[in-house]
Amino acid sequence: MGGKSKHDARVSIPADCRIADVGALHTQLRGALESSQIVLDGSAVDRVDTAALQLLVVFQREAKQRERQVQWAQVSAPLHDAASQLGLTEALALPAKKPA
Amino acid sequence: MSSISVTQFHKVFFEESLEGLDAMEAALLALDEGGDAELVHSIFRAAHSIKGGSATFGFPDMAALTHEAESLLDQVRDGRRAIDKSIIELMLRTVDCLRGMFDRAQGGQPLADADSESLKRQLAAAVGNNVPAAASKAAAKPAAGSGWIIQFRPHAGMLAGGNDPLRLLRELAALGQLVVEAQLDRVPTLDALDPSECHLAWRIELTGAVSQDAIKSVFEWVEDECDLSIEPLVAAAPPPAPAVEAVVAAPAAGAGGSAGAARGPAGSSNDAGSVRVAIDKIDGLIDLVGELVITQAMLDQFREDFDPSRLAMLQHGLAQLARHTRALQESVMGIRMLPIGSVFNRFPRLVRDLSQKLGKQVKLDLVGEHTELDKTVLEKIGDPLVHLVRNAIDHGLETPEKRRAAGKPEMGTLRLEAFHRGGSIVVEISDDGAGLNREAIIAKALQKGLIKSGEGLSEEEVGELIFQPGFSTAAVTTDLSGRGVGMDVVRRNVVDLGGNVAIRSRPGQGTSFTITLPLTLAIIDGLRAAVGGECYIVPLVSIVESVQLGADAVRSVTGGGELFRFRGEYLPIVRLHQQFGCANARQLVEEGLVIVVEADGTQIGLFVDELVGQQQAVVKSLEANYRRVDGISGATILADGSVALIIDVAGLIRLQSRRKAA
Repeated sequence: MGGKSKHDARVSIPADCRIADVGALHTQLRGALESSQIVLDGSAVDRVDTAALQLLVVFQREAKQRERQVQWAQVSAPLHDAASQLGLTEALALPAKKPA
Repeated sequence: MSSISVTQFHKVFFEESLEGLDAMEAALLALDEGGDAELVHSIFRAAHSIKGGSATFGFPDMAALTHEAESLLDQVRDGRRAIDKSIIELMLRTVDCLRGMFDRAQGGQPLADADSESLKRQLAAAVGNNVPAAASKAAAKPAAGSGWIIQFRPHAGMLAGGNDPLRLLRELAALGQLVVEAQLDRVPTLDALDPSECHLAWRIELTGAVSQDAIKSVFEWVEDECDLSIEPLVAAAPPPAPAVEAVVAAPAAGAGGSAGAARGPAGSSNDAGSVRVAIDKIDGLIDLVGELVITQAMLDQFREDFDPSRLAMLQHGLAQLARHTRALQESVMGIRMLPIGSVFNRFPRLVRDLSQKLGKQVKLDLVGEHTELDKTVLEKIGDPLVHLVRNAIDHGLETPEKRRAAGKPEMGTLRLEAFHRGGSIVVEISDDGAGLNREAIIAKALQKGLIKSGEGLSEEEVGELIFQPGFSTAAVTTDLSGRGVGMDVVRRNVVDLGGNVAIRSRPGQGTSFTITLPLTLAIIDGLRAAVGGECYIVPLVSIVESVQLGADAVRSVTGGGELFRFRGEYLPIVRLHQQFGCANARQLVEEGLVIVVEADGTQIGLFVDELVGQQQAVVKSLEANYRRVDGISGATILADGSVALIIDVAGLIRLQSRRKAA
């Protein structure tokens, strides 16, 4: 999938996505909100923490408010586990388990 | 059935536990002043036995509280936590709270109250603050219910502090089944978001046999970085039940009636009283009884075949019998004797609390804790001593500023000393404070009409004034002393015990109270005095000396009294035969004997026919068998079976001075 146009953004979430590195992701996500369609790629995520998930939750809420379409391309098992542990699966609009 | 069989051990458990609490308190206070590790061990042991006992005897509230205290102590003991003022304070409060629980337990009331519950939470919080190891231990505790609702809201800075809620929830998940509901109500917009701050909160339902402690220990690292509440699942009945009971119990206890009820049974159980006796005292008794049996067997032989040639041996045997009987008597009396330390023990705490409250620095010196006193005396001397100690700290010792200004060390010294003197026990309470305020006392006495003029009063006379009923000089009535219960009550209590109180004060250097108490109330040493056909016992402790007077040594004074000159002073004579109405007594002074006796610092002469000999008198109450007689403190039975009355010297002196005043 290629997210080249202004109406199509793709954000790859880094493998190590924890509080120390969420700044970059924050910037990326804010930029992505300019697009009407956004794809989140969580396939690489190996380590994730609450700060990162919170950021994604805020992003999802914002996107919904601005009527952006957000889709998960892939969700790694660690990401899925963490989200479910924190009760955020729904807020993150994660697809049902089983990484695609 | 089984509960009945356990109940009979309650009393012993209470006694031992209260002793344990005393020991705990003493050790805590010592620790407060920089004690060593051994103290922590002894505190831990005391808490541990109380916990074990209370669980065994069916006092779960007490067990729960001590469990928390023990956990905290365990951390200190293992060196996982340094002992500090806050822990000592918490432990001292635990000691107080447990004492209250024991009181209520003796009254058969619910043990937990609002205080104990809040203390338990504080202890648990203190424990939780520190140790991960406690988690597994606490988790081993039986489940309080089938589940908990945890409301967890991290503070914004928690993530940056390195604590990830994700990790905490994973730990929780290890305890039981979780239903996690994230609360997003506080999350900001994406632009406003600082991703390193936490704006999420969670409501977590944890089902499973998990103790609250176990949950707390999960959150122990982040306790001050989040708002946390842990409540039992509503569906689970057992956990909330005790909480409700506790809440109900608190106002009930406060309502009044039950407080008295608590004291009732506790008081009566004290009255019935038991004495715990050191095993070596018992062994000594058994030895003596053994000796007595041997002597008796020896004397028995004479009965079989008595031969005048063996008279010397018989006398020897009788002398031995007398010796052993006397020793046995002393030992048996010794069983009633307990070290005064058990009363002194309460003072370190009292002094600590009072001095903190009043902003004074006080060093407490306890001397002679091993001095033994009769149990009855011991039980009744506590309150007067507490009053004197309170007075000394409240009125006697000055504030550090005043002390510095007076060129004294800021730390005041309060000294409690007990020792034997003659046939008495002396307890001295002395401070190095400001001494009696002569002017204030005289002004007050004038105001109260106790004296007509303050001029020419000696220090002793001024000191005596404060023992007058209703006298209190505290300019401001604090809640410590000056509650209307004054020195007159102290004196009366001591006098009721057959003792007396004296005061010595030097301005700027301090005040000292001297309480003199009889060794025991049950047996006194006395001189047997014949008056007419009667026999009276004069307590040896009050006798100064006995003199034979010439007819010209006695002066009659107007009003009917008689005086005689003794060592430069004129003393009144009380003729016992007149006092007690004895017939056939000697009337002429030169034919009889005058015994000079002293009580409360006053001397008088007792005129008797003659002194018969020294005698130990087992005191029997006259009131119980007849009625109270002025000037007589009791009666005893003499060897020939007749009754002899025991002179109440202090009472006679009071009678005499009343007569003089009349």
